[in-house]
Amino acid sequence: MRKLALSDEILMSVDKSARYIGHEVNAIWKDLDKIDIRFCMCFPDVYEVGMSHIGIQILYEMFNRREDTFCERVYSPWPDLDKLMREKNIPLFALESQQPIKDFDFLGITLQYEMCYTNVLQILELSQIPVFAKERTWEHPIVIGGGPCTYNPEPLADFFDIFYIGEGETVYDQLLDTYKAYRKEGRSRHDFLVAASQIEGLYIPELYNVEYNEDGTLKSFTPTEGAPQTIKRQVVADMSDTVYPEKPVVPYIRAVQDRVALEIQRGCIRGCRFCQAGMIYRPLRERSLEFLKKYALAMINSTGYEEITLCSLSSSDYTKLAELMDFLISEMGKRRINISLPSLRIDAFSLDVMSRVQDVRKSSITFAPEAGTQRMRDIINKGLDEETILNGASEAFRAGWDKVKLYFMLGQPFELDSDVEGIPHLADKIAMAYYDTVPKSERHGKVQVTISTSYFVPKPFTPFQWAAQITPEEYLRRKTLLMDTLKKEHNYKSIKYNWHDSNTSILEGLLARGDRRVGRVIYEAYKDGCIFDAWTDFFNMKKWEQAIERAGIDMDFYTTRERSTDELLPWDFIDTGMTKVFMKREYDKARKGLTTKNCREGCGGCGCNSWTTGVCIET
Amino acid sequence: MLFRIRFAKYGVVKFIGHLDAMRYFQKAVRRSELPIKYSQGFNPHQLMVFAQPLGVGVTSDGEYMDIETEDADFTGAPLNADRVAGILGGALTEGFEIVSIRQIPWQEGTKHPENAMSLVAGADYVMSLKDGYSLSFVDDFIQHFSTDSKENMYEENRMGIIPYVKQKLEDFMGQESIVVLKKSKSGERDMDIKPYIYEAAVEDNSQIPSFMDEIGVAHADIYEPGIRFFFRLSAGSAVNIKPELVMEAFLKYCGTEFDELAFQIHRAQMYSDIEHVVGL
Repeated sequence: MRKLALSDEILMSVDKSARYIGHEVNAIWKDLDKIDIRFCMCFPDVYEVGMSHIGIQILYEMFNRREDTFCERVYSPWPDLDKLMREKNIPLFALESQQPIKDFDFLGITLQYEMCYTNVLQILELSQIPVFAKERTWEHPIVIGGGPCTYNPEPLADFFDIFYIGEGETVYDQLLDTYKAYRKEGRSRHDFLVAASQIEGLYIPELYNVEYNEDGTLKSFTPTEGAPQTIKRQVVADMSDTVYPEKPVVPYIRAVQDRVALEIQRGCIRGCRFCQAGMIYRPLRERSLEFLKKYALAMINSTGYEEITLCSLSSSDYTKLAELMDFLISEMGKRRINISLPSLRIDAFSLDVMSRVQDVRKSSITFAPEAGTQRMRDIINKGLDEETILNGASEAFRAGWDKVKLYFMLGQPFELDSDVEGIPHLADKIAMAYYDTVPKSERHGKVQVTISTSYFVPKPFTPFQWAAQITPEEYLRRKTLLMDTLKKEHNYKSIKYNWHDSNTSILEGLLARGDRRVGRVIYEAYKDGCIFDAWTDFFNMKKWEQAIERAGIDMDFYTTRERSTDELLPWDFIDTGMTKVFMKREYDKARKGLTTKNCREGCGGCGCNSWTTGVCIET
Repeated sequence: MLFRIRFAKYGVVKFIGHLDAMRYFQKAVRRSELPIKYSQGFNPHQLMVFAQPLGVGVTSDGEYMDIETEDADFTGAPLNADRVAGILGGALTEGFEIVSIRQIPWQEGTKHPENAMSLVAGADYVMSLKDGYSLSFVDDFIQHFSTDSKENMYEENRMGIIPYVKQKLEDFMGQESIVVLKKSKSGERDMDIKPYIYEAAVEDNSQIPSFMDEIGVAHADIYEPGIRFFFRLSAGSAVNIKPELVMEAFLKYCGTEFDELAFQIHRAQMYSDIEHVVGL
């Protein structure tokens, strides 16, 4: 039995000590004497959140397939342990070996959402690794960032040695081989980073010089030492001939996603203009049915989970969904494994499938119209009309459902008050559809319609990347308008309204479209005690406001300012495959309320067909 | 078919709480393809009953669970205790280990035998003083004949310590009553726990008292101070006495404050019949 990094005394005094002991089912162990490269993979949030992420499980599998590499994991220590580790000067350790991360070769941090940025600094500081990349030497690991937030890595540029732009399955081998060679030859850390900059998809921030105009906008972004001008996003060409875990690690404590996750496809054909995921993972690439069948069974057998879930941005677009569901319902039924189906379009087919795999009485039907009027849904290119929503709802009611969840965003570009008022109108029509569809004798009380609104944050590499974010005051005004309108609806007693906090969203806006100068804000906020900002219990807007002031940053410049489409943007050096011309065209069409077809109906000319894979070459 | 499984839980998994340990076994059963039976209804669950929760931080060689299975395994071969041990044992990871399995005689269709949970009447515990801890009444005792530094004090004086503590424990148990403040869901109340302490002993690392089975201490960790207390206590739904409660009372009797972190608790065995010492 391995020795733990933390004493019994510490483990008995912190909440959920099982977060820190490693040793889970399917966790990998290697003989440290036979290893050349030690890689620690980090999800900078609490264990239960981090363990729910399939990306890490894929990379964990990929790295550990290399005989010369041992990949371990680490997550953010909860504040109770954070305090003890600082008091007792205990360095942060990896779960498998329980050894300090500062002695590793690489620390890879996945950046899934902006509100985890202070946790990145916590990980570095607790690991006793200099927070600023420029202060690191060969004594410290190479700190590498990946994940969706790296599509604008600039606010974090000072803290990372390398950013990996794109899908992790492609060039890591090259990076590790280069690292091994350079260490063996006794070359300098800087030489290694320069060599790494020649690998496609890797961005080494210290090799780029940034200049600003007097108005604060970016003037120039210049590579040095032969680093490339643009960094090309990495894309897996064949999703059925790539690494996937057969034996995912199974946590002892209940994770947020406490089930087997089967990624059926990557990318999305829909082209919703607000959606970063729908743009940066293009083109849509499906995994083959054979691949999915094989891994579904392997993962269920190796983990013992009682549930499997399909992962994708829009499961209904998977062309062989019916066959996959037939297979899963029969195979999982035999094993008493539940099936969960998120991100399905509500139609006759999905309702039939859902009623076969879940308890209709207890579950709810979810729609994400994202906007309340057809005008607004056209602006965002949602590709969903009111008739489809109402028909879907009626069919669901007929099949026995009586709970409906509706997701909307407030503050998308060109939104008018009438669009906001359209949200409760739509909810009311859905409630009405229930009373029209289900006879009194078959009702179990009232229908429950729940509206949720979030506060729209414009993201890089979307057609709305130039748009102004509305101010928090304006968001609250629209929220109140929505609520007041709701009170006047006929069925308002059947409708509930939840809204997202305005402070986290405006900060998210700052971090999402910030430049290198915004890094100072993150540092100042962290130094003042900000951590776990994604958790409402810990989020402290006052401290963030003070940090913004100390850093001398103009919040409005980054959030509520509409950018000119000619402006040099901090993330323009990344080539996602999607052209700026396409994004401009989409922004313009949004302004005019014109829609764009989805990838299967007709190519929108985004540029991603240059990858010649997936939906772009479907026949 | 009904099987009663005795298992051990030790090492780092002692930090896994009871509910998580139950979920661990449910997953292990699924991985193993043991043909366990499920309850009826829309959300069927495995027919699996645990005897008694084990606290976080406590190790054990005497945990029990009942499982109900089909008559044959997935190959069609009839199940028996050895087969169950082979199938399920292969799916367990380090820290969880099957100690023994026996089939509970039961004809399906007849009345269900009492399950492990309702049978628990008593339990054996080991409480070992952990590294870096001492007991002030023992320290005072050593002061009388040792002028050496505090380091290794217990090791060098063990020959004298154990008999001394033994005497103290005997005196403690010789009292007419042992009244403690017992906390429960309904509040706190004074309670005489003496009738529920069936055995009490202290030994060094080399011995176990005659009332305790060697199997029960197989995975009890060994610590440097070399002072191990052994208790047989009432357990289960009627009167459940935790070993910490007894230790606190004993140390109070010796004029020493009780520190929860100073002891590693280990459950050695559970009994359905204390009087005749019948294990579950």
